[in-house]
Amino acid sequence: MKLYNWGKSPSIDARLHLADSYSATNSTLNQLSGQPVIPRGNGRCYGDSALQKNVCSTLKLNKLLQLDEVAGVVRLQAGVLLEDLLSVLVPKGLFLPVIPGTRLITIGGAIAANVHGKNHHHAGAFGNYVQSFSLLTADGQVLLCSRTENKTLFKNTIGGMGTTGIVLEATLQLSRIETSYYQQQSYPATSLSHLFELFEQQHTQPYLVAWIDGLASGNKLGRGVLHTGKSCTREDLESQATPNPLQIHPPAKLSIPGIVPSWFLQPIVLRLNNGYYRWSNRKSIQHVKHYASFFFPLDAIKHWNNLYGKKGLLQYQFVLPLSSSLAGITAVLEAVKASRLCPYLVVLKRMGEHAPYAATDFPMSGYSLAIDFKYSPKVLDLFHLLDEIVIQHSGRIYLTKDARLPAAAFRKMYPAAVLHSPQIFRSLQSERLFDL
Amino acid sequence: MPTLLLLGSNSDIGKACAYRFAAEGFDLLLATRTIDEEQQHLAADLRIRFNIQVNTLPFDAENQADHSAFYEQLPQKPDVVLTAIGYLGDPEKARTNQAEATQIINANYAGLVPILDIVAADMTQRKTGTIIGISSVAGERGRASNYHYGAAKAGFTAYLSGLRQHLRPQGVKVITIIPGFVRTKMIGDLPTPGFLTATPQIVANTIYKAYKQQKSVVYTLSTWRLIMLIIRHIPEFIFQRLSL
Repeated sequence: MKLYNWGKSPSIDARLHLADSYSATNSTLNQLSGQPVIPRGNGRCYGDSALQKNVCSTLKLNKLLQLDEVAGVVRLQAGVLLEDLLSVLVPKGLFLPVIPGTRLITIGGAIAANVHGKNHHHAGAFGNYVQSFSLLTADGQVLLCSRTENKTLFKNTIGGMGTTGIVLEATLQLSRIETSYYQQQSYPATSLSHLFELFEQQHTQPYLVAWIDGLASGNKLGRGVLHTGKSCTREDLESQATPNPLQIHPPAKLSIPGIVPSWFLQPIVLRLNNGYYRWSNRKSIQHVKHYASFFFPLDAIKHWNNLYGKKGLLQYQFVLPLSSSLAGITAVLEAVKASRLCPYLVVLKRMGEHAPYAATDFPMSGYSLAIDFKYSPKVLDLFHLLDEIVIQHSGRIYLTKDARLPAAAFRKMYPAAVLHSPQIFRSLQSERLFDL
Repeated sequence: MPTLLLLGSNSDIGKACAYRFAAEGFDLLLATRTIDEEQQHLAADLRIRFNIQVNTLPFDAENQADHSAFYEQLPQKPDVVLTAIGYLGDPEKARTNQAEATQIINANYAGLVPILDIVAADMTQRKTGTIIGISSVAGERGRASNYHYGAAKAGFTAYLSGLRQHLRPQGVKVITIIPGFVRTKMIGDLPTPGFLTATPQIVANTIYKAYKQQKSVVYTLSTWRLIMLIIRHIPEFIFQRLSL
């Protein structure tokens, strides 16, 4: 079958092996007898991280195994979607300490990509809350890995992009919520340095994310809106007309068909960028949002990647160390501006101190910027230019969003990266990055 | 809370039914030949998601001598009993291999009768309950491609029909579910026409709806009712010349 991920390119003819038990997963590996394979969750990485001629899907390993409500700990299989887990946790006042921008990813994917959210400066990445997991390795063993057992394998799997083996199940530390609502405050910034000032001023807020007007230039370059957020208490909700303080997310109502032409989105984005900035600029706005719209605004629309047309989208997400963030991000925004390509969505996040995990793990203390483009060959040229700026400023790009990084640039960004079982667990992305 | 006894909880339709009835608040008695790790995971998942009681019990339809003890030892008596046991087997092998033929007959018919007789007697005594049996369109007319399976399903359909008549005055309902193609491990990669192929979830929804509305005979995907009506009425002198 044709297989591709969220950005739609590349796509390959692949065999998808759907195993519904641990023994079936093991026999899939045996049957492949040494052919390369990569574990795959819900295919929400953007490029080729979860692609290979043989793909082992965990989507049928979707069982919750144990929930300790008192300790706030859950043991579950790797193919459970965050969406599914949240609908069980939220009514019990439990939540995930780290939530990425979509709820449509699996636990296994969250571990492999060591995903982060808007609270990285506060809570770190997903891996910080993984107590242990069992991993099916290339030699068919199932190993329990934690901070005390099989320590190295534990560390190398978190952010390891699925190259150490197949995570079968995991035990996670949960957090507690009084309500499933968030208080969001918005602050407009007239320039990039202004935005950085606001970030540092609001550093104590648990959630921070900024939208940037990617079309602004000159002394307005990097203008945008910072959103801060914190979980609502019951008291905060009293003035609101919310019948159930622990309401779960609604199902997505809108779906984009795969027939949208690729020119569709650009004129809308151009108008929205300007309009949104002016609208937010009038005053700093405070409102209460449900977690679905606070964390997952894009999940409200199924298949939103279809808005970019048949060829899909390319995202460039990178992180720079704190000291070079302002200079580096300015240079990147200027390069984007000079390319005359349309940046559809630009998002800036602050990352905090980061515990060391795999050598391909993304986060570091500093600022992370993500820019979405419609697929075109010109965008690929621009990305090469951006790679150089990122390397110059000692940064790196997020492999989960990557579909094209050349091997040479990869080695400069991730000098310590190695493949753990290069014959068995490798994706198209590993083949490209490691020149296999 | 009402309780469902699910015979064949390892089948794809069985699993889908477990989730469907659990979502309605049923406690579950999951019965299948071997309680392996996967069954325990299934039970744990159902408990956590739906806050219900779930027990897993070993049950072997072919081991008919044990049926009575199995039923007596249930932690609670069920309000609804659903059989989702089925075995397509190897139809070609069954033509010459007696063991294969016997297994097909036992798993689809002979092995289900003793346990359902026991359930029927208990429900008669309690004057309440519902028995749901999953048969097959294959039981509507014997065909060259799988006549052992078809014959066993025909026997099962006839048994359920008779049981329904017998139990009606006792206030016990018997429901026959007749699926066509279902996308399960039973048919594997066999190519089937999409519009005639249901998913286990569709079958589970049909079953729950049939239970709710206390229907008697329900085809999953209603087109099958028409197709089988036609097939049943093809004169034998033509039918024997067809390859179906």
